[in-house]
Amino acid sequence: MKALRIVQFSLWALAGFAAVMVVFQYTIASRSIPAPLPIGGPIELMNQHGNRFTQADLEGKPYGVFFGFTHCPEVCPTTLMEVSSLMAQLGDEADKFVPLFVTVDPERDTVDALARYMTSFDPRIVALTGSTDEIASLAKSYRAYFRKVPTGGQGYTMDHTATFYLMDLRGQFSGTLDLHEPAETKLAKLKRLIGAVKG
Amino acid sequence: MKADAMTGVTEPWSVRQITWYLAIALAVFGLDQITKVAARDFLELHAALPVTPFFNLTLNYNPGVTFGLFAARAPLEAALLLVFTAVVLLAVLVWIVFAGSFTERLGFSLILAGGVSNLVDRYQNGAVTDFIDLHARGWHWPTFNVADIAIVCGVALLLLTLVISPRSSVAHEFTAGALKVDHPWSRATPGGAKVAAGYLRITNTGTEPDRLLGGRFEIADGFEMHQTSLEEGIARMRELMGGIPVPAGETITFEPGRTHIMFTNLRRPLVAGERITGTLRFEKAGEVRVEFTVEKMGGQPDHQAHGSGSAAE
Repeated sequence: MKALRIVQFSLWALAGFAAVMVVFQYTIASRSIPAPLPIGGPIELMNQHGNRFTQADLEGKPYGVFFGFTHCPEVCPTTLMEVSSLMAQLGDEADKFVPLFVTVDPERDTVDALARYMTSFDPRIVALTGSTDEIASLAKSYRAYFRKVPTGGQGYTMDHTATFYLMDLRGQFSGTLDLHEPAETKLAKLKRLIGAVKG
Repeated sequence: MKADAMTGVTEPWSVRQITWYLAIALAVFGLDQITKVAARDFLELHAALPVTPFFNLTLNYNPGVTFGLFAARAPLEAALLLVFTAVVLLAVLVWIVFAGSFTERLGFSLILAGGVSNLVDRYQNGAVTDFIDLHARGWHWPTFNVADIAIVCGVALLLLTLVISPRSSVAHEFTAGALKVDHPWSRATPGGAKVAAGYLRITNTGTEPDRLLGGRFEIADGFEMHQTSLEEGIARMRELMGGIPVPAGETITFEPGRTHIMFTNLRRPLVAGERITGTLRFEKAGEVRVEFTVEKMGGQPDHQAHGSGSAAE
């Protein structure tokens, strides 16, 4: 019984600590709006439905940019899942925001591969592919890094910037989402970004 | 929580395991049938034969199910009961095939054996032969038989697995010699994904160092071990060549954000809730069969979230 009480106490302590952390993170995050930086550049790629997707499709809408690839076992599916869950939490507001998933592995991530992959996530996420050059120049404008790394077999993997860039309705950089910050913080950031559309 | 006291390793639904459970089930069935025949031959109906102050052998025919519950009184009810029991037993049989752990399968086997034995009895004699009569201070527990004991033990085992494991993805453990592999898990994969990550913990309880060289994942072609990092916003993944040492007395952990096993060339997507068989290959301990539980996408294993895994050991 004593052990049970210790477990119970620990759980309460943990819950209390978590509550404090959430409040703390929320208030800190609400204050940290970074100044606009020259990050980002015009997008002109192919989406998962095989259609040309350009900056014009983003006119007047805030959007998010994430560089990744489908042969990615951990960071990419987790991020896309997280974004899907945020979109669900945003409800109708989510239609005012466009999350973009840009592959850094166009060799394997064809339109078809992306189409299949994206069936597992929120359908409003736009997956983009293109030629290696097109992707390299877009990544460069975002100051994103990616590099092909051979693995033991004949395969390879990609090192890549895993930042989720937040861009405002004028296509200007307005912050990032961190995979490790609480979902509440991410949601608050997105709401603020979308809220600017109305105002 | 030993996964399998008998073979040391929980195997998938292999022929060898089928024979084990079949043997157990048949033994229970045989013992029950023999004792019932003996009871019918040597005991007189309703005449108690005292064995100890609280235990009689009393022959009784029970037209209902276990412990005289739902005793059927009309022939139609009896027939319905027969069909009902057969359907339930069939369901149990199907369940065994999909049951995860050793204890679960053993539990189902015992229930199945007891159930079938009583069913045979009911079919042959129109009622179940009971002869074990426990009593205290003049109060008698409904008479029962060996099959009932098996059913109760089976249910108890299932309840036990429920208590130990609130979810299908509970901590599960596999051992080979001095090596203990704790809770291998993976995550559901997106459509058409060719790769998945696997995580687990290996403890070397012995005095000799060993080394994890590689392994196999049932539905993938490749098995690579990777170190991952996320520094200054850049996600990196490096293959750990030449295996991973498992020093004596130490625990190595594959966990998100640090190290993982990458299964390459997946032949089908992983679905949350299922279990996938795999093998780990060690330099000294040889091959160890394990089962990876599949969490939802982006999920964490239940027990790691609050560390009850180590507390359970």
